[in-house]
This record gives sequence, C-alpha cells and structure tokens, in this order.
Amino acid sequence: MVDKYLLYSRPLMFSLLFAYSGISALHLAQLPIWMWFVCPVVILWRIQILREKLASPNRIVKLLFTGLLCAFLFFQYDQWIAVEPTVILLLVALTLKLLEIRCRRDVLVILFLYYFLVACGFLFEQSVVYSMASAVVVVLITAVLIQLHSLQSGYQYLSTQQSVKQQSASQYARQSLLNSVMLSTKMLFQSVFLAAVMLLLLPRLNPLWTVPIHSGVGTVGMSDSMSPGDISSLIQNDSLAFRVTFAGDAVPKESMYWRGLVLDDFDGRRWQRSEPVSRSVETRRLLAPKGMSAERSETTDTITEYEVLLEATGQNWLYAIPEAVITQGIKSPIYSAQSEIFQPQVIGQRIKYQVHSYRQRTNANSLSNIDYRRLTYIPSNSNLRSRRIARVWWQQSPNHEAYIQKVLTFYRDNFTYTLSPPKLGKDTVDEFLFDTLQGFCEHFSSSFTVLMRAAGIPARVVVGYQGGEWSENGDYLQVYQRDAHAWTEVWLDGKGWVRVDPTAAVAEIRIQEGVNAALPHRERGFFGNSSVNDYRWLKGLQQQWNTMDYRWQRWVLDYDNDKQQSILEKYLGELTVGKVIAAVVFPLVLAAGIIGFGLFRASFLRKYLQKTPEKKLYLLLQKKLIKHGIKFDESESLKHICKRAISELPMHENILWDIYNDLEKLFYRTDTTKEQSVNIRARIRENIHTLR
Amino acid sequence: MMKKSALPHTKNNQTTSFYQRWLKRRIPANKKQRLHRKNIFILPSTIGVSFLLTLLLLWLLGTNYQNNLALVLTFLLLSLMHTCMFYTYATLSGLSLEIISVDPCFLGGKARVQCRISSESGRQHQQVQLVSEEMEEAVVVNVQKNVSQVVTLLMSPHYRGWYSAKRLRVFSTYPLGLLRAWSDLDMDVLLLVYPAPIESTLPDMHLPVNDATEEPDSAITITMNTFDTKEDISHLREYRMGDSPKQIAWKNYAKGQGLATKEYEDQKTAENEQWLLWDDFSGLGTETRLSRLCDCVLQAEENDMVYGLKLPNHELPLDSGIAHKEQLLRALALFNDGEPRVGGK
Repeated sequence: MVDKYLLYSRPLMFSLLFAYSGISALHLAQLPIWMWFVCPVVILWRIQILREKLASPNRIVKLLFTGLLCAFLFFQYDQWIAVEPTVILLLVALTLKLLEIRCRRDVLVILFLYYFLVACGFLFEQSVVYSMASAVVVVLITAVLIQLHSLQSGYQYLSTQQSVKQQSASQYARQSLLNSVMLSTKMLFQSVFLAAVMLLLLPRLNPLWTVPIHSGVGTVGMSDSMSPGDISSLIQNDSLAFRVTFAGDAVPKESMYWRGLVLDDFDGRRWQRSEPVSRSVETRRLLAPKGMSAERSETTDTITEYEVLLEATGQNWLYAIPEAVITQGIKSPIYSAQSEIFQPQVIGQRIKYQVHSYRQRTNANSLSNIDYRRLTYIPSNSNLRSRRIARVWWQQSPNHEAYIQKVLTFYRDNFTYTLSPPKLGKDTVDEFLFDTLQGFCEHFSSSFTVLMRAAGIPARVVVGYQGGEWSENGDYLQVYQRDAHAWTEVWLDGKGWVRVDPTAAVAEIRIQEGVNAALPHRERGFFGNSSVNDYRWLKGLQQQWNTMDYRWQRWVLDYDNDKQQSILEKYLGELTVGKVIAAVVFPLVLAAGIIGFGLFRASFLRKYLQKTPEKKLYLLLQKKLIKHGIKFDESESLKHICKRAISELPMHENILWDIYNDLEKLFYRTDTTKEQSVNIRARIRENIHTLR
Repeated sequence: MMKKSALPHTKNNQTTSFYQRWLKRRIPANKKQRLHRKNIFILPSTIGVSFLLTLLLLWLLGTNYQNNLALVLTFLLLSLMHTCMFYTYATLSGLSLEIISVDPCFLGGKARVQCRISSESGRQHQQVQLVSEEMEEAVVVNVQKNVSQVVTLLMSPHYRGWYSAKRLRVFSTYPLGLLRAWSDLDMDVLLLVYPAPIESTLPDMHLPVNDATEEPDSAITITMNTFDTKEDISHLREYRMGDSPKQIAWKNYAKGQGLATKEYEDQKTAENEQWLLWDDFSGLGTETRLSRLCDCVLQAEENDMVYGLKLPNHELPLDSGIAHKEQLLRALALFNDGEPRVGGK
C-alpha cells in the first residue's frame, strides 16, 4: 500500500529529515566517522527523490547499500553486546528506512525510533546543554507527528491552491512546520507538570538486567606517571576534575590534599608506580583498610565526611583526603598498601562516592627491608650532584626533621615558582636544583624526593589535586584540572608516612589561594581561562553555570530511590491510603486544569464578554421567572413573555409591566443618554428583586 | 443487494447489539446534534497503543541503566499522551451538525446528504472526519472559528424504499493520532432509494384501449367502463390544480370517486405515449421488474415521452416532466414498502 499523500507531501518529508539531522547531531560523539558522510548523503538522496530528480532506490541498490553499511558496522566494532554498537545499528537501520518510506506506518515507525534514539543519547551524555538540545529534538519529532496527522487537509489545501501558484506550496511547507512546532512546544510544556509529578511519585525499580556500556572515554587528568612537564600541561586545562560537598565543617584549604596515586619508582627522569595500576586492580593484591572500624572507636580523630562527584577520568583511582574510607557509592573499593583507593572498573562516567577521612591518622604500616631499599633507590648513575649535596647536608643535620627543614629552607631561599620553566635535559633533578632554579610542583616534589632518598630517608611522590574553588554560594567545592599537584611523602620512624610539600615552601600562596595567585603576573595568561581573570563578569557567569550544572547533577541525574523517599517523607509524612489517593488525583486534576485552561479559555471568555448589561438583566429576569415556573422560549418576544408572566403572577402585574417597558427602552431606544440608561438599569434590577 | 432487500426487517433487528441499544438511549435521533461531553467517547488508537509500547521500551532503558533523563523523557511522553487526550476531545467538543437536505438515489448509487457543520466553541476544529457504514471513505473537514461549513456526504444505501441511514460516526485523531475521539450520531437521515435501473428496451407501445389490435388491459377496461365512452376519452387521471373545469369528469365526482380529469386521445400524439406496465415484465422477480420499470421511466423521460405507470396496487396517469418522473420513481421505490424500514438502529 503506497500512500500518495505521503510520497508527495514535501512538508512532512522535510521535517522528517530535519528531525533526522537533529538525531544524528545528538549522537555525533558516538557516530563512526563513516556515518558522518552517510547521513548527509542519505538526506540529499531523499531530497532528490522528493524533487523527483532521482527515483526511489530499487531492491538491488537497497541491498547493496545495506550490505555496505553492515560491513562498515562489522569492521567498526569487535564487541557487540554493548550499548554503543546497538545504538549505531539502530541509527543505521533508521537511515536505511528513511530511503523507503511508503506508507503512514513507515513514518510512525521512524518517529517512534526517533524518540527511542533520543533516550539512548542520554546513556552517553547527560549535561545540561545536551539535555536542552534533546528537548529541542523532542519538540521537533512531536511536530512531525502533528504534521503527519494534519496531512490530509494539507494535501487538500495543496490541490485547491495548486492552480494559484507553485510558490504557495513551499510557503505552506514552512507554515505547516512552524505551526506544528508551536503546537508541539505548547503541548510539551503543558505536559511538563504531570511528568514531574510522575518522576516524583512513581515507584522506581532497580535494573531488571544490565548491558555494559562500551566506554569510549579516553584518560583525562592525572596519569599514572610523572615526568617534567606533565602536570604543567594539566594546569592549563580549565575543566572540572571533581566536586566536593562537605557534610559538616570543611577542611581548611591548606590541608586539602586530594590524594590520588603514589609514584615510588624513579628512573632518573620519570616517576611511576612500581606496579602498574591495571595489574594491581586485576590481581587485587591490595589490602583492605586494616582494622579501620576497630580503630575508629579508640581514636579521638575528627572524622571529615564529604561526598565527591568525580568526572570521568578513564582511570581506576579515586581522590580523597587521607586516610580515607569509602562509605558509599563504590561497590567494592580496593585499598592499596600505600593508602590509594581504586575501583575495579575504569571510571567511564561521572561517579559519586561518600568518604570518611581521618586526617590525624597516618599510614603506619611498618616498612620491610625490601620496601626500605626500594623507597630509597635512585638510579646509580644519575643526578650525582644532588646526591653529593644531600650527603653534605645530611651530615650537618642532627636528625631527619632537621635535614628536611634544611632542604626546605634551601628551596625557600633559592627557587621561583613558574609555569614555564626552562627545558631540562637528562639529569632533571641536578639541572633543576643547580642550574635553572625555576620550576613547578612536579619539579619541587621530584627533586625533593630525590634529596630525601639520597639521604636514606624513604620517600615517594604523590600526585593528586590541592585546594579547589568554592562555588558561588559556598555549598560545594570545585576542583579543577589546574589544581593538579604533586607532593612528597617521607617515612619517619615512629610517625609513619608524613606529607611534605616543597612547593608550599617556595610559594605558600599556591597552597592557600591556588595556582593562579602563586604565579607571576605575566604568567597568568597561561591558563585556558586567562580571560576569566580579566573579566569578572565572565567569571561570575562561569560560576553560575557551574552551579547550575551541579544542581542538575544533584537533583536530576542523581535523583534516586533514596531521594524520592526523603522528599515524599518530607512533604507527605507517613503514607496513608487517603494521601496516596490525593497524591494521584490532585496532580491529575491540576494538570487537567492547566491544559483545559489553555484549550477552552477562549470560549469561556467569549461567553463572559458577550454579556452586555442589558443581556445580563434579561438573564436575571429569566432566572427569576423560571423560579416561578414560567418557561422561556428563545423565540418568544419579550412582550409575549411578560404577558404570560402576568397571567401566571397577577399580583405582580404592575412591576412586570414596568420591567417590560424599561427593558424595551434599553434594548431598542437609541436616544437615551448614558445617565438615563444607568438609572433605568438600576430600576429594573430593583424591580426584578421585588418579584418574589 | 437484492438479498438484503429480500430480508428487510428481521435481520437488522437481530443484529441490534447492546452497544447499539445503549447508544439509542444515549444519543437519540435528531436532525441537529451538538457534540459535548455526554456524547463524545475517547480511547487510545492503535497508534496510541504502539506509542505506549515504545514508552515501555524507553522505561526499560531508563530503569536498566538507572538513567534519569531517559525516565524523564518517558514520563514526559506519557504526560504528552495525557495532554493529547484533551486536545483530541477539543477537536470534537463544541461542534454542531445539522442535516440540511437529503437527495434520493438509486439502489447501488450514492445519495447526496448535505450536512452543515459549525463550531459553537470559538475554537478551530481541525481534521474532523465523518463516516458512516454507507460511505466509502471518510470526509475530512477543517472547521474554522465561528464559521459553518456544508459538507456533502455520499451514502450508498443497501436496499430499496425508505432507507434509514445508520449512525454517522464523527471522529478525530488530531493532533498526535495517539487517541481517537468519536461520537456515533443518529442524524435521522431517511433516504428514498429507487430501484437500481437495469437496462431494458421500452416495451411495445401500449396505445390507448380502443386500439383494436391489442387486447385491452384489464385494469383499463374496468376504468373505461365506469364512465362515458361517447367522447374520445383515453383515460382519467387524478385532478391537478389548473385543469380546466370542462375536462373534469363530473359524473365520477358525483359517484363519490373524487375529482378526476378526462384526458382526450387527440390531445397528444399517440406515438409519444407510453404506458409502463407491471405485467410487461411478467415472469421476472419483483425487484427485477421494478428495476426494469425504473429504467423505462428514465428512458421515457429522456425521450420526452408522455408516460404512465401501472403497478398492481397503484396507477399513475400519463404525463411528463421531472416532477412526474420523480413521482413514478417514488412509486417504484415504495412498491410493497410503504413504511420506512429500520436501518441499523
């Protein structure tokens, strides 16, 4: 069954293609490169078919095209039981379907598939902007649905107008799309209220089954190694790393060391983890937090509670203030011997976890001989100058603490903090310490750790973030990539691992006020958001945007069973049958009111406005007489009605005649002044009221 | 069709379903009907049901991936369907329909029924569709604000005689097609259905009775015998306004037989006169005879003849003109079927 209306209905086809390009745009990130070419080609092809420049593809062409796309798909993905290939497969099927629309049902299938693909898009991206774009596409799809159902009249319109002008058809097409977009926008807005109520009230189920998401997220932010220049390139990255919401008092800024990974293997230039992260996670040769719960009761530690909202990193480790215990959000956290925290899966999307931090506690696992040797190791043929001076200073110092202080003083006196240090050669630490004297946290921590190791103090580099920026109203902390930091941990007998930050010695302001304040003025331009510093309003805008994004995350994306429960309890209290019924009925009635007002308002208003004062008086009389059992017939004259009334109510004869005469005057006499008519009206009203 | 007309009453009465009986009470027959909440029904359409299935898929997606935005979309679309319910209802509510004229038709042909649709709501009503069992396809109307519109419905009745049309279904799926609002209105449409003409040659000339060669028709003989034969009267016909008093058969009037006009043979040329007789088609079934007679009437009128019709229980005198033709056709239509039959109510 071929529907001629459809085939030649250009407005419908154009909007269908328009919506299609919207859908493709929503999936642009997932689309394989070849689809970027296929989509426009199909759109153009379809348009040419519409313009009757090209014929609809016959079976062989269709088969070839389908085979080609399937081959592309086959080579694109190696893993099929995942979301991404499935979604792309759907999209390819949709693309092919567009080329062979034959009847109304085909269009409906396409439109429902559109809706489904919009929902699929949310599996990959959920930002505010993306959601708004999706909303626009939903409006478009709904508009096409409306167009489809006003099609027949559209066709009739065209056939009657065809003789007039060819041009009117394209005008009509535009008008048709515009009208249906307006209507669909209106209808969707009217639907928002009930949708919100449903989201709030409808019970939420746990996943019935799951399909793993094929994560295409590359690694972002910190990597598992550090060589000079790594972190300073991160510093120029202005994107958000994570957000923190403190449950109680926040930690002072200078103590906000968001610990990530411990790098304990040095090859003379590069720091890395002695065991690759992936192997640690796979074999799980990591320790659970030893006796954390047992210790909790005896220590007088203040617990800092907070929630971290971590952006996708593509890595396994989490950030927290040591010593940290994950209380919620991660299914099976893995704690390493170096107090790092991992999660088994790569963090491919934003995650949220709750942490308890015991800040006064240190990791005091005793050090074996092997560990001691490993943690004081420096490649024997590198950085000789540094080792020599370390030995000299070590001999001058009475104890470990004094040595550390001496080194820190050396840093404070000689070094400058800069984002663009001179390039370093092979022996990075030597060159930095004695030649260039300019550097960044990675240089400081790296060289400091080498100096410690040279003196026989076990030391390691820790990478993570330091500090952060409070949101505008101060309810959460934003930590950006530019807050990336590296510091050192040294092993002191009896104290365990102690954090020492050489950067703080050089540029204290970096720790207190952030990277930006610490840099010399001319270097602030290195930031990706250099303009933000110059234009305060832009910064404010950015802040507001972040706040909105945060709220979006907290209230929309993280809305779950618990939140639903707490909201329901807060506003409804204990659930009773009556309340449940009210919660169902009230929104329905309210929604009906909202929609009904929009739809039927016109007729209500018209009826109200049509009543002139005379008409109102007439209606009043009618009401009164009906009460006395006198029926009204619209076709009857006023005089006749009055006569009938008098025969029924002889005792009111005079009043009724008065009313009749006055009404006649009001209705038919044109020479009465305004004042007179006001008087007459008052008299009629009085008379009507005396009819009892 | 023949079969249907052969079983006129009983079958229709038997098929009266509960719904039909309930409808009869709820929406009684009337030439003018207003659509309001008491006679508009609304249910999800097939498209609506498949839409709901799509939403089920969306909900599964949202639930399985614990994706709030997918759930939001699901609920938004569900709510959209709820909103759509009001819009679809509004496309019918406030419409008023009135049957203005009904033209007779031949069995197997289409009767033109003019229906006026107007909006009393101050709203515009798009994509209102009208259909009944007798119509081939639905008529789509866009009713503008406060403007009335006349729509022609082409109905093909199922049997000859008085045909009472089945309920007119007014429906709409505008704007999203997810719901269908409808009303089954009994517009009290009574169609006069002539027999379906079957092509036939005009029978031999039935010339006046005094033609000696032909055996006189019994019916005519009887009539002839009742009055004066001295004059060259061919026959008597019913009195019509404007006939000359001289031509009135006063004798018959005196006998209490009513006013009749004498018609003289020499008034019209004999070749042009034609009697159409029930007996001309003896040996055929009733309906076939009627159909053939019907065709003869049409041919006679077309050829500008003067013609009359004789049925077993009815006789229509010689005359011509459209009014006469319609009178004859009506007689054929109502042969053995004086009472209107119950359609589908």
